Amino acid sequence: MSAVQPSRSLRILTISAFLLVLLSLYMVFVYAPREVVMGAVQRVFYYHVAAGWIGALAFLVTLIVSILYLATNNIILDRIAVSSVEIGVVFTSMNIASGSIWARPIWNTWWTWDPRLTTATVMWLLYIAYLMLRQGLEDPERQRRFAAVYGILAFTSVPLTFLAIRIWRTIHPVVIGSSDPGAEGQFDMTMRMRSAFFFSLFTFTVLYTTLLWHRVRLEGLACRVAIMKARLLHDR
Amino acid sequence: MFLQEITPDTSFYMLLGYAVFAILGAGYVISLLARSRKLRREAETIARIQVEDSEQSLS
Repeated sequence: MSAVQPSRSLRILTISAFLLVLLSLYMVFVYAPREVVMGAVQRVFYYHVAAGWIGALAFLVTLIVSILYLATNNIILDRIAVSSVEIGVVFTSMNIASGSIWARPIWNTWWTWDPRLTTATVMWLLYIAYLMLRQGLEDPERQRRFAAVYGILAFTSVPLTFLAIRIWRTIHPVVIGSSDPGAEGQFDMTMRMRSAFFFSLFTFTVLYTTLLWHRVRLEGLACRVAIMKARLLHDR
Repeated sequence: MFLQEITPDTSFYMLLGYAVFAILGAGYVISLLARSRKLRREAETIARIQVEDSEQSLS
């Protein structure tokens, strides 16, 4: 059962991700200055955007491996796709929930059906449906093919979410580029804020890679156990 | 001087925001560990049954 134990590279990556999270917390809470207009809640920004970035990255990875799966029928690509969607849903949940908390003191409401919030919620629900619909199909081959096609189609919601604050009138501020004049919560980033922001993005990217590696291994283990069970039943 | 702006105290919302990151992040890691442990246990049980079956067939 040596395959069950994580490899040396994965262990190093896991420890690195943990240390990076600690360092990014220092950057967010100590190194970055407090924003004068919004106060302490502005610090949610660093992880809020990083979580949104990971959601988009995870769904992009799913799109790429889904296309490759349809072309090659390699089961490992399907394992990466489902693992990436699961992680993407977790980080998108963080993004939506933290955004709602940030909105309360700044917009004076927990939620509003703004184009960005609406498209992000639709994207989140589409990928939750991906995970649920996978479970609904019995035949593994059909399940994988269906999931690959769904993973490609669902990705249309990702650029739509990204562009929502750039093409429609919105209350949501834009981080890179100019915001809508009606946007609330916009602020000028100092050098230290920028450093904390980009460091958070880097940390979350390493964290995503680590979680994906662990999750793909788990999917492989689940597959091996299923084969062992089938063999045992057949032998008896 | 009466219109001077003061920074609002929004610390509660900051803590609430980071509590969400901590709960969802830790929850996901715990779910990965729990699923991994369950599958390892299942694999060990199946391997043990296979050994018992082969011993029985030999005897």
